[in-house]
Amino acid sequence: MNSKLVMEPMPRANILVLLLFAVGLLTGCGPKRVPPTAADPLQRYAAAKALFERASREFHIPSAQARGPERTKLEDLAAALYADVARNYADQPIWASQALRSLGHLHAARTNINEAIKVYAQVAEKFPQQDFEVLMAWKSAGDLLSDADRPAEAKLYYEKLLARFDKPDALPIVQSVVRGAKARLNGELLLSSRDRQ
Amino acid sequence: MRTPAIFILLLALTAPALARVNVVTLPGRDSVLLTIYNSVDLTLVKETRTLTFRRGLNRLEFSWANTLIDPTSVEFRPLTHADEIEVLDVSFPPRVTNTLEWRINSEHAGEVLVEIRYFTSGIAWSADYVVEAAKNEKEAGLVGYVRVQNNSGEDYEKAQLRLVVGVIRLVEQIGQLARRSGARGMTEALKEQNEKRDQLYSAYREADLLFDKKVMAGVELKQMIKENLSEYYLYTVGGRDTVPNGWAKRLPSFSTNGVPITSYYKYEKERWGDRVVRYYRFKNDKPSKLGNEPLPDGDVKAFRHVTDDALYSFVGRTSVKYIPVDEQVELELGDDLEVMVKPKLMNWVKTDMRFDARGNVKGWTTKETWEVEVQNSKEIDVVLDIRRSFSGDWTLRTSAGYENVDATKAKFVLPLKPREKQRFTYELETRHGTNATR
Repeated sequence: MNSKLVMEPMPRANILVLLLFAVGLLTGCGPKRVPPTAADPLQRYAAAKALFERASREFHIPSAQARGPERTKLEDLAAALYADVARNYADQPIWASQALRSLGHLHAARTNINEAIKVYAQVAEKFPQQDFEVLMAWKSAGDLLSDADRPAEAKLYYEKLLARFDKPDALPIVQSVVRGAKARLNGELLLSSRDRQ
Repeated sequence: MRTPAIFILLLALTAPALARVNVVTLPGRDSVLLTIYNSVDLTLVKETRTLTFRRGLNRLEFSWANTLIDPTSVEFRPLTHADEIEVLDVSFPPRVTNTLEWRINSEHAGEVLVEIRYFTSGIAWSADYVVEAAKNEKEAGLVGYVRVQNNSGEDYEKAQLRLVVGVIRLVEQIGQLARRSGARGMTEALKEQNEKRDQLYSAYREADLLFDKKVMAGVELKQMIKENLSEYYLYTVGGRDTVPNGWAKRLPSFSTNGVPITSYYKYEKERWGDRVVRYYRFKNDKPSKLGNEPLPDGDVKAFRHVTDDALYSFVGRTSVKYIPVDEQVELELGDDLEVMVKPKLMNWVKTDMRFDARGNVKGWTTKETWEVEVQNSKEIDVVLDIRRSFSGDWTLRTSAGYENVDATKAKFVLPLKPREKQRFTYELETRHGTNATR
């Protein structure tokens, strides 16, 4: 069978639709990526995991090696994805809590201390069941404040940490974190952030 | 080549504290031992590294980013100069993601052998076997393999492998927990049940200590060995193998020749229709040149030598469940067209009719005469096990030997010579209604 290509003038209405679509794309109003619905937990788990891993693998980890504007760009991209996971996948606490803590790390790395502390605090507020994430977030908050010579605020986080996690039967890694928090509270281990560079 | 997901960076903070930090060393693993639990998706990883410490405060980073390592299980301990090394703190550096940093005080300047251990998921193992039956199907060689599959996100180079077979009660509980959690998976189930997870880790760590003691006691490691630890068993695969992420590796586990086997054929209409199914049977015991350890679940492929110069033919494949020592195993290897069973109903009558006062039938007896033709088209002797099922109050009359398997089944066992054809008949009497006496 022979086919024939026919070129016809495009109807005016179609041109308008195309123009509107193009304008929409240019202004960022194009079709948005819709997260899987809550009715499909398996897909949502996989989607949250994929987003978190993408943020970590493609942007956050490489940002540590990058310098200047390239680092800023990578950190921005990682932060956007972490925020997406934390905001849109709150029903997937494993990934949402990690994303929130990682977002705190990004702020801390940029020395946005207040913003980092705010985000670290949200880990326990939003995902109180994620014990280890809460532990890491509180320890990170305490260390960040301690290194920033804000001991009174750091003390609050260390004390919260000890109240919740200082147990004789805790896992070895938890016991090590607790030991460090106690040492910091007692004025030992006062290493400034300059040593960490 | 991918970058290892775990990196360990040893930094020393020399006094005074404001001095710049020097990278002292970036050592590779000296050894890595994977203990893979079959019952749950969990592997205990123990790696040793030789680190060069400076006197004073040292920093050591460990990253689990993009792996399936459970960070709550990570442990650090010095194996040498242990009384001079102390972990002061663990922190989480913000510059990198999913990384922890140990702050370690050392009174020793120089090399220290350290062990880092943790649990990861994503590593699985399975067993498989190859049976090579002799031409006469009286004995066979049995070769066992283990296949280790690594999807943990981390490469393990030159790893020593320990495989745990069997179940422990705690593992079953965790397994049920994971199944209840459904799509959320093991990781989330474990995280939500911290207490149970901690118990699991604690049990596995204790088990691991016992394994180590056995090994220290001089148990030979160059071949598969058995460790009997209460309810489960441990195999150590000889040698070391690299198991990269995303790869599966098949390793030989044992090889035994001259295992006595019984080859036989079964016919049972209710199970297999008109097909005759071949079985190999052997025992996992010392007289059978086995019995050194239980055999884990696995797939089996069976071959038979068909010529004297070791030409093989494929016999069939099946899977076996966990086989304890001294247990007998039957391998169902599929149908064999060279052995035939053809039962034929030759006659049928209804007799001994009884009627009630209204003339309705209240009791009767049927008599069926069956002829069973059997044929062995093979060039070797075979043993044929024919099972016939009956219902009601029945009696069998035949000159052929048989035994009752249970109240509804009789078994005829016939040895057949090569190319032999036989026939036997039996008469089945079944009493119905008031004629039935049982």
